[in-house]
Amino acid sequence: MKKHKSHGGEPKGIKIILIGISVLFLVTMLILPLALIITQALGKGVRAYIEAITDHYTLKALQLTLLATITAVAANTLFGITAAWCITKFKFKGKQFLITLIDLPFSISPVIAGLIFVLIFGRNGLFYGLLEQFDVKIVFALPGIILATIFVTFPFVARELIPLMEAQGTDEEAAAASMGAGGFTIFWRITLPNIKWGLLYGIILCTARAMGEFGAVSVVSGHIRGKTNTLPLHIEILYSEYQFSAAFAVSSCLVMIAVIILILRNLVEWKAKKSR
Amino acid sequence: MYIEVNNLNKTFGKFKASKEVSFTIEKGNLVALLGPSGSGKTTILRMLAGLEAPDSGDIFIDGKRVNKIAPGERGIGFVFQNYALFRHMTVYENIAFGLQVKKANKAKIRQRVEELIELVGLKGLDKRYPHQLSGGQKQRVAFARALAPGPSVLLLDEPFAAIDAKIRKELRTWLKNMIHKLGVTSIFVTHDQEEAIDVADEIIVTNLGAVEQKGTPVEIYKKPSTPFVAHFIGESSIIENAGIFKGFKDLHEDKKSIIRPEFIEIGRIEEFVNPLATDRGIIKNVSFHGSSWEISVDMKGCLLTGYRSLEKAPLKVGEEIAVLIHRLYVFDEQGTKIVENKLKVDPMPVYI
Ligand SMILES: Nc1ncnc2c1ncn2[C@@H]1O[C@H](COP(=O)(O)OP(=O)(O)OP(=O)(O)O)[C@@H](O)[C@H]1O
Ligand SMILES: [Mg+2]
Repeated sequence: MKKHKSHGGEPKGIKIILIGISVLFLVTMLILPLALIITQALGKGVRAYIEAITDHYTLKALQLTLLATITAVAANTLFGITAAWCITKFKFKGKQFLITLIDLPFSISPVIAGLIFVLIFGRNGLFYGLLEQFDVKIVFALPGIILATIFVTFPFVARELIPLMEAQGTDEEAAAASMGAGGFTIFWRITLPNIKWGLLYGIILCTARAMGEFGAVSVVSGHIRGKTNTLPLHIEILYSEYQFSAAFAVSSCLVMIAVIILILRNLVEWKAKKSR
Repeated sequence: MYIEVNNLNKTFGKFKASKEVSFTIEKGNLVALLGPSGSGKTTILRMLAGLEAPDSGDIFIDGKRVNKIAPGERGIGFVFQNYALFRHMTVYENIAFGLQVKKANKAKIRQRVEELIELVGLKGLDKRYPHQLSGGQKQRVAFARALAPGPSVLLLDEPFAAIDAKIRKELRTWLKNMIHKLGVTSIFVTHDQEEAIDVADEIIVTNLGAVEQKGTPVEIYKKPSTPFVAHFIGESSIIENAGIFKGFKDLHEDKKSIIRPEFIEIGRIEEFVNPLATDRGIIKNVSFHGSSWEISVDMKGCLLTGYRSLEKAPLKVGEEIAVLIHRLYVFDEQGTKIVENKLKVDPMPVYI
C-alpha cells in the first residue's frame, strides 16, 4: 500500500508533531492563563466577583480607561488618515523620514514614552512654568494619560492605511478631480469608501492596544485611585495589595473586552476580504 | 485652433518630462499622441487636464488660457490609462458622479446617464460594479463617465492598452465613430503606431519629452521630418552610409539614411528588368509574413528587410540574390529628402 502524504509533502508523523507543539504552546501560553484568570476571579464566589467589578474605584478606572481610549483612538484615526493621505497622495521631500517617524512608538519602550512626557511637562520639565501659570496639569492627570496613550497607539491606523492607499494609487482621485470634485468630496466619496475596511481594522487594533496600555500610562498617571487610575493600573494596585480575586475579577473585564474586540476584528477582516 | 499649446516644459526633480512642447488641434479632430514608453505622452495629457502644472508655457482651449483654471472647470473629460473607475460605485453611479459634483438636478442626471448607457451599449449593466465588467465594458463606462458632464475636449490615455488584441480593433473603430459622431475634440495616447494610423485624423509623435512631428498619418508616413519619426513609424532599416549602394553614388559616404521594406525589391538577378541598378546580397532570414515573405538580406554589411510576393519563386537562406533599392530617405537640417535610384531608368520601351 502506498503511504499517504499530506499537502506539503511532509510525512504524517511530522505533521502531527508540529500540530501538537502548536497546540501545546497555545494551551500553556494562552488558554491556561485565561482559564486561571476566570477561576481566580470566581475564587471567592460570584458575589465577591460582582462586588469587585462594581466597586466604586473599579468603575472609575473603567470610565477613565474608556475616556482615554476613545480620545486616543479618535486622535489617532484623524492623524492616521491625514498622514496616510499625505504620504500616499503627494510627493514631498522627507517622506521616508515621516514613515520612519510614524513607526517610532513601535520601537520605543512604553516606559520611555511615558518618561518623555514627564520630562517635557513634569515638575522639572520644559513647559512646567508655562503650564503652572495657566493652572494646567498634564502629568499625573488626565491629559498626561491621554497623551501617553496616543503616543503608544499612534502607528496603528496609519500603518494599516499606508500600504492599502499606496496599492490603490491616485487615479480614482485624479478622475474625480478632473470632473470638478473638491478635496472634501474626493475624500468623502472616493477615498473613504475605498479604505473603510482597512480603516476600521486599524481602529480596532488601536482600541485594543489603547485599552491595555500599562507602561507609558503608569509613568505619567501618578496612580491616584479614582482619579488617575486606568483599569490595568487598578489591577496592578489590587494585586500588589494582595486582593487577588478582585484583581482577577477586574482582569476578566479586560479579557472580555479583548475577546469582543477580537471577534469584531475577525468580522472586519472577513468583510474586507469579501469586499475586494 | 481649438487647442493651442505653446512651449510647455515640465520637470520631475531633475528629469525633463516635457521639453518645449507646442502643437495646435482643430475643433472636432481626433488626434493621436504617439511615442515610445516614457516619452512624456501621459505628462502632456495630464497638463492639458490640469492634473499636473507645467513649469512654463501656455495652454489655450477655445481661445482661453486655462493654466490657472481648475481641472473641473476646463471642460475636459479624461479617460485614464487603466480606467480608474470608482470601484465601490456601480456603473450608474460612476457615470453620474461628474453630474452630481456639478450639482445637476436628479431628474436631469437620470436622463443623461440613461442616455449615455444607451449610447455606449451598456444597457442592463447599470447596477454592476467595475469588478463585474469585462475590459471592454470597463472602457465603455470610463468613456461614458468622461462624457457625462458634456466636455468640449476628451483626453484618452491608452484607451485600448488593457484590452486583448481581437476586441481592440473592434473597439477602436467604435470609439472613432463615436467621437466623430459627437464632434468632441479628442486626444488619445498610444504607443501602437498601427492604432494611431488607423484611428487618428492627425498624429503627434513624441520622443524624449519633445514633439518630433505633427501631421496626418499619410504625411507622417510619407514625409517623416526626423530620423526618429522615420524609424518609429512603419518598418525601416537604418543605413549609415548609403553612398555605397548602386544608384546612390552621389550621396555623401557617411550620409545617414533610412530604407523601408516597401522601398526595396529582392529577387534573382534574372527577375530584374535593369540588373545594373541592383546590388548583390546574401539572404540571412526568410519568414512567412501572412500575405508575403519577409526577407532579411545582408548587403555590404547592412541588414535590409523587404517583402516578396508569395507568387514568386521562394528564396532560401544563404542564397546570393539581387536587391533593387528604389528610393531611400536622407536627413539633413531641412528635414527629410526622398532620393530615387539614379540607375533605375524606365523599363525598356515596348512597341506593339
Ligand atoms: N510623477 C512623476 N514623478 C517623477 N517622474 C515622472 C512622474 N511622472 C512621469 N515621470 C517620468 O516622466 C517620463 C514621462 O512619463 P510619462 O508617463 O509621461 O510617459 P508616457 O509617454 O506616458 O509613457 P507610457 O507609454 O509608458 O505610459 C518618464 O520617464 C517618467 O518616469
Ligand atoms: Mg502613459
